[in-house]
Amino acid sequence: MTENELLEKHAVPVYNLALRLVGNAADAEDLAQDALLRAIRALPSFRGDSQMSTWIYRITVNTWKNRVRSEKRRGLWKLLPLDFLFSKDGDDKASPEPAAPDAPLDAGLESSEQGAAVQRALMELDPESRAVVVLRELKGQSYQEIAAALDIPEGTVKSRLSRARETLKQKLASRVTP
Amino acid sequence: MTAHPREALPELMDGQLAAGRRSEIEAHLKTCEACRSELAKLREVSALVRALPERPLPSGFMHRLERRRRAESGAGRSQPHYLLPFPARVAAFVLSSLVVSLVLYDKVRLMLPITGGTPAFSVSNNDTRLPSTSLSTGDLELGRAAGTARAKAHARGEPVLGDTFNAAASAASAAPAAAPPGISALSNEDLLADLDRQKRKAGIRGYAAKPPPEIEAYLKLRAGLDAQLLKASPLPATVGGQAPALLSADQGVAAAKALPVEKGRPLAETSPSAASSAEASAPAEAEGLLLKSAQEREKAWTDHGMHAAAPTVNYDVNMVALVVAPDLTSAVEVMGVETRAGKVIVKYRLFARMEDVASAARKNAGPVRSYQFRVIPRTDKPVVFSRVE
Repeated sequence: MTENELLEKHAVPVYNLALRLVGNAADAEDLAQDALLRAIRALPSFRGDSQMSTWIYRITVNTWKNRVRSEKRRGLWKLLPLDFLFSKDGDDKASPEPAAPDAPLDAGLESSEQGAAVQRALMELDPESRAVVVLRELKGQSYQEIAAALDIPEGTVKSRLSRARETLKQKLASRVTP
Repeated sequence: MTAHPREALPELMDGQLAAGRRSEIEAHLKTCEACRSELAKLREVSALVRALPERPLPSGFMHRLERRRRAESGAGRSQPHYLLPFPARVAAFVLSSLVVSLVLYDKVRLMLPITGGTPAFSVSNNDTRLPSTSLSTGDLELGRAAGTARAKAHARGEPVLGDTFNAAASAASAAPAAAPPGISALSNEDLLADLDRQKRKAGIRGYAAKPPPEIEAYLKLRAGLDAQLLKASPLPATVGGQAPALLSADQGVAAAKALPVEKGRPLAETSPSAASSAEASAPAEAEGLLLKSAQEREKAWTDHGMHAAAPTVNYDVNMVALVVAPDLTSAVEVMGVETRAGKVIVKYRLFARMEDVASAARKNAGPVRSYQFRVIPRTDKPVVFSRVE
């Protein structure tokens, strides 16, 4: 696969993965570009023993994890996510713990109210859990692929996914059949 | 099965259970309303997340990515150009040494005292001379000194003891410059023959001992201008923390190369009054024009009566910086374009027009003022035309 083919095929999926991980378009672009450039550089070493999408998601998630780590070191995680201030959901206001060190959600990112609520709920998950959920639900990755992407045991993938879904179920209680 | 296998429900939903375990759970679900409800909720949550729409790339995403990609690959290739492979460096050194020695030979030959059209060192006795396989500049200096001494001795009417260098050196031992012993004797012919041999080796068929006066004048003028240019506007190392960006001529489109100076009609055919008034007036500035559309370019080309085809330029991304000489007697040269302190500076210089006006007249090219242009990336920054003296 050439560099251009890589970009043609994977730029949109990588951008969307980044968007769901960081929650706003500007940071998502930054992250997606970093990840794509890394993938281009690493392309000659891609051995093809995994799906290219899995390989490139792994690069994206690792790039993001490095950022989260360095932002944590800089103490940005202490900042309150701005979406909390704009939250229309009464329940969210009652429990304002900022779980993630991410930048605020774009006000205009989600056109539907439901989409906005789901993205907000995702952002309230801890970063590792969010990555597991996004890779599973939006990218259809198997437990094994997620374990490889995040460099964690498969058992941890299972437990994190289970916990994350439980949290999401509570956050989105009003949208789930009681 | 009485216990509720809640922990297995996500795996069941995700299709991650082994066949045996899956059958067990499915059997349980048939009988357990609570677990069925739990599984349904999990599926709903999963569906909510999956319903997040896929977004297109923001506009300009690929462009920005491409820019970063180019910047990175450019940085990766930044290998110093002077690091030639070793054989190439050796070859370059040998070649330049050869050229330098040829030039020195030539100078020395011209400086040798030659009287009455005959060589000062006429060949008479070759037996004592060594073959002139190679000459150092020291050899040549000695030869010259010996020759001078011999000529002086000759002028004073003193007897000259021989025609060879050795003899001349011994005869001139009282003179200020004398050859130390052990230096091979070389005649003027030796020097010339050696020079010819070296030239043949270097593939030089002929040479001009001295350039024609007009070329010399031009070279002198040009060297002076170059020196002034460098002195007048040395490039700053940084401007506002950033290195000044030089816009290369080939930036943008292929038509970015500057056209050669057009030939004009001979000055004799222009009206004498115009020529004299041009001479009398203070040195006029060239006309600088910024052409941002095909119409502007067309107008400029028509206004100045240019014959050469105008460049094909994509005005969406580029524009043309055109510099036209103030009169027919001067030529204009665009020295470079650079961005500095938020401005685009087009540097040009004017110099006396040197061209074959007679052949231009035969071609009936018409009186076109000299001009040059550069295609530069389109920008909203102010563009300044700056004459370099």
